[in-house]
This record gives sequence, structure tokens and C-alpha cells, in this order.
Amino acid sequence: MFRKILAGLIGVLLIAYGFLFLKKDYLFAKFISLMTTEETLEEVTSTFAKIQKLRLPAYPVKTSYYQLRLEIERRRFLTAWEMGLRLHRLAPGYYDLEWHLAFLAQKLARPQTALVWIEKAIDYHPFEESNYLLKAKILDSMDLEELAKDSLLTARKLSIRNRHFKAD
Amino acid sequence: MPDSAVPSPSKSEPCGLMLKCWVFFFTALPFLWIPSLLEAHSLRKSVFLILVGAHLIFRAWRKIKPIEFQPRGLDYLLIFYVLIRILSSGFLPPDPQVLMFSLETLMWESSLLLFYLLIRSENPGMSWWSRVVFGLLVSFFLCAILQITGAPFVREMVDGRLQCSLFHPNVLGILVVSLCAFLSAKGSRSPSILAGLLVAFLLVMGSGSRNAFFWLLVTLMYFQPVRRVFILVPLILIPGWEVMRISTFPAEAYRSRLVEHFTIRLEVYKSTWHAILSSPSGTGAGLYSAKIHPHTTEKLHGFFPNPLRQSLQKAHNVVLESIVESGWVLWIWWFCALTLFWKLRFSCSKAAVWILFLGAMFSVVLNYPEGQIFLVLFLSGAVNGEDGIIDSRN
Repeated sequence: MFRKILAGLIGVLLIAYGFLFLKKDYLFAKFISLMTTEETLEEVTSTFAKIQKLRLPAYPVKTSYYQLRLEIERRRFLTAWEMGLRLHRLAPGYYDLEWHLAFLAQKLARPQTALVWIEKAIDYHPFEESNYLLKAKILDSMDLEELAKDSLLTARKLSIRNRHFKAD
Repeated sequence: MPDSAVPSPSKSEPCGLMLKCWVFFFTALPFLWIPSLLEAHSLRKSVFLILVGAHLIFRAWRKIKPIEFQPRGLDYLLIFYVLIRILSSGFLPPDPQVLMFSLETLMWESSLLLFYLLIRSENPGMSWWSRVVFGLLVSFFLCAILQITGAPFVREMVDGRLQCSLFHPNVLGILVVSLCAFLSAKGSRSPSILAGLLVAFLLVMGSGSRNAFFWLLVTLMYFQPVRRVFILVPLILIPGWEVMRISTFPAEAYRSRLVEHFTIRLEVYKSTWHAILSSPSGTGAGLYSAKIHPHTTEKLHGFFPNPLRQSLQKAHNVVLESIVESGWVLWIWWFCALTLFWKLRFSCSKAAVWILFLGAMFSVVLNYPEGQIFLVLFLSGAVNGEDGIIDSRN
């Protein structure tokens, strides 16, 4: 009897998970579409709240990454910063995570920390030009104009290289 | 139903309703796709989970003698695999956050294990397997025709390549070759088998997958039920078809740069190897794409500069990726699993599993639910050994 109850319970859980997974997937697709089409922040936030309400372990890394992006959109920089640090521990180099951390550190008026994070972003994605653009901005804010200029030049060179590079 | 290679201690009737549901699921597989979902496989994954749950309930509560089957080495190994995956995901060393992030993969792999055990215990006969394989081939073919005609309820083609609503044409290619291997291994020259092989051949051609082309040739050469001279037909047709596609779809021209492709793949394997060396206990189930970036080689960064557009997400080798995720202990596991699998009696399912496994050594076919479902399905058939027609090859 115990085996029957256990099997029944697992079966019901799997069925429920199947339905909830589909719901989360649909909401997630809607959320990403809203984020990219620049819909009103309220709508984006409410869709994400629905995703979180499901408390489902589907797409965990992606969910955390987009949550961080949403917090930045909502200008809750400190929350986003803490979230980003947690995500970095688990998924270093995931998309442009370190770029966002450098950006957040700059927003939180921590230029030294921002510089450390943008260097990390460059370590993980050395050919991405936006990393060097942000580095130039950070260096400029620290009154290191010559270094900022060098970084800007690197960004320009990479931009040309990447644009004409067929593999990307 | 032919006699089982493994004598079952108490033979009882299979759950007919659920087996019919599975045939329906596999026949409808290419059409289980909705454009408004995040991933191409989401609906299929969801329906699969629901069916496994329903099957489990039916299995447990129906009023007949519970089916028992004699466990074999591979059954224990598969259970052991899931245990290793769980232990490497936040238990050894303890890390609740890794466990939380791996939970989705662990749940999915556990449901695959349940599906494997259910089909193993049902031990369906050859007619069921034929229905599944022919159902899949016919529905893939129908889906391909709808794709070519641009029907709205199937995914669009990718630069003239068929993918039948799966993640990628390469996935379709290998899955179809595995079906082809299943049919070829029957060793029959009946019109239905030859028609099935022809459909499979056309689908592989339409998918434009080089990996699938290669394994199709291997399959036909090894198992071919027709005269060996017919192997020349694909050998002549395939390169011509490739040249035609490349000239029709300029976006496909990159496929002709073989040295560049080989270099990229080599760099992917090098990056994966660095990750293996740096994490003896594994990074956690399903966390390959999250953990690989610190190990990516400089050269690979040069090929894929923008992390938002294209980045290293899969190892393109099922063995290496699983070892990155679950640690060095999986070297031993893979060795044991392959040894035990090698020793299994020759069967159609065994042929299909070989193709899936060998295809997954160079592609992402086993990284997606469809490929994984196919693998455990055919693995259960191979272990049961009831679908085998030819035994002379062993």
C-alpha cells in the first residue's frame, strides 16, 4: 500500500509539475518579449511577479539573470548588485553579468570596484567591445583620461573586427 | 510478443492504455510545438512529464498483478547515474545554491529514469515498437512537408534546412538516423521497411546535418538490408545537395569553411577539458553553460566575441559534458555503462542507441529533451531485448 501511495504521489507531482512548467515557460517567453519590446515597466514587473509566484525551479540561471536586469530597469541598484554578486558566484561569465556588475558599481559610486568588475568582464569576454566602452567611461570618471582613450580605441578596433567577423 | 531474453519472474499484462498514449505522444511529437513558448521543446517536455506521472499512477493503482522485472546491471547503473548527479549538485561539497540551480535538471533526469523503468517493466512487444518508429517517421515526414509549404502551425525552416519543430536541424538528423538504424537492424527487405528507410533518408537530406549524413552512411553500410551498391546513391547525392543548398542560401556558405569549423569544435573540446581538470567533483547537474566561461579558450572568444549573441553553451560531446557537471567519477561510470551495453544482445533498439550515443559525441542531440527521451526509450528496448530480430551479429 505504501508503494502505491508513494507512486501515486510522485505521479500527481509530475503531472502538476508538467502543467506548471508549461505555464512558467509561457510567462517567461512573454516576459522576455516585454523586456525587448520596451513595454511599460509595470507590465514587465507584474509578469515577472507571476513567474516568481510559481516558485518553480525551471530556468534558474536565466530567471536570476533577468531578475537582475529587471531590478536595474527599476533602478533598484543595491538589490541588483547583491543579486548579481550571488549569481556571479554560481555562473561567472554568464552572458554579460560582469558588465552589469561593473555598471552597478559605477551607479553606486564605487569606481574602483567598477574597474575590478569590468576587468573581470574583459577576462571572461575579451573580444566584446562594450566591455572596453564601459571601462573607458569608468576610467574617465576616475580622471584617467589617457587610459580611457586607450580603452576607447580598443573598443573601436574590436567593433570593426567583430562586425566583419562572420562566425559571430 | 516474442519471448523475453530476460526471463521475468512474474509475467503480467502491460498497461495497454498508457502504451497507446505513448504511441500517440511519439506520433504527435513533431507537432507538439507552440510559437508563444520560450523553448521549442517546452510543450513536448510538459506533455512527457504529465504522461510519465499518469503512467506511474496507472501502474501503481490498476487492479492486476503488479509487474515485476528482473533488474539488470544497466538498470542499477542508471539509478546510480542519477544518484551521482544528485550528489554532485550541491551535496559534495555542500552548496544549497548549486542544488537549487540544478533542481530542474535533476527532476527532469529523474522523470527520464522513471520513464525508462516504466517502459522496461511494461516490456512492450515488437508491434508497439514498430508503431512508435513508423509513427515518428510518418509524422516527421508530414511535419517536413508542412514546413516546406510554410504552414503556420510548424516552425519555419532554418536557411532551407528542415528541423520539424525540433531545436535544430542537426537534432532532427541524428534522431532520424537512429530510427533508420532501428529499421535497418531488422534486416528485413519488406516494402514498409524500405519505405521507412527512404523517408528517413529524405529527412536526413532535408536536415542538412553533416553529422547525420555520416552516421546515415555508417548505418546503411553496417546494417543495410539492400544491396551495397545503393550506398553509392547517397554518397553521390549528398555532396551535390550540399553544394546546391550553399549556392541557394548564402547564409549557409559558412558550412563550406571546414577548417574554421574544425578549429571551433576543437576549441570547444579544449575549453571543456580545462573545465574537467579544474572541477574533479563536478560543477552541478545542468550547469555546464553557467560554469564554462572561465575555462573558455582565447581562440574561441575570438570566434564568439559577443556573449549575448553566441556563446559556448554545450560541450557537443555528451560524455565530456556529463563529466564537467558531475565529476571524474563519471569516467568510471561511462566505462561500466558502455561495457554492459556492449554485452547486450543485438537488437533494433541497441542499434538506435548506438547511433544516438555516437551522434551525441559530436553534437548536442542528447542535450535536448527529445534526444534524451529517444535515448531512454531505445535503451529500455535494448535492455529488454525483446525487439531484437537479428541475433547472428553477436
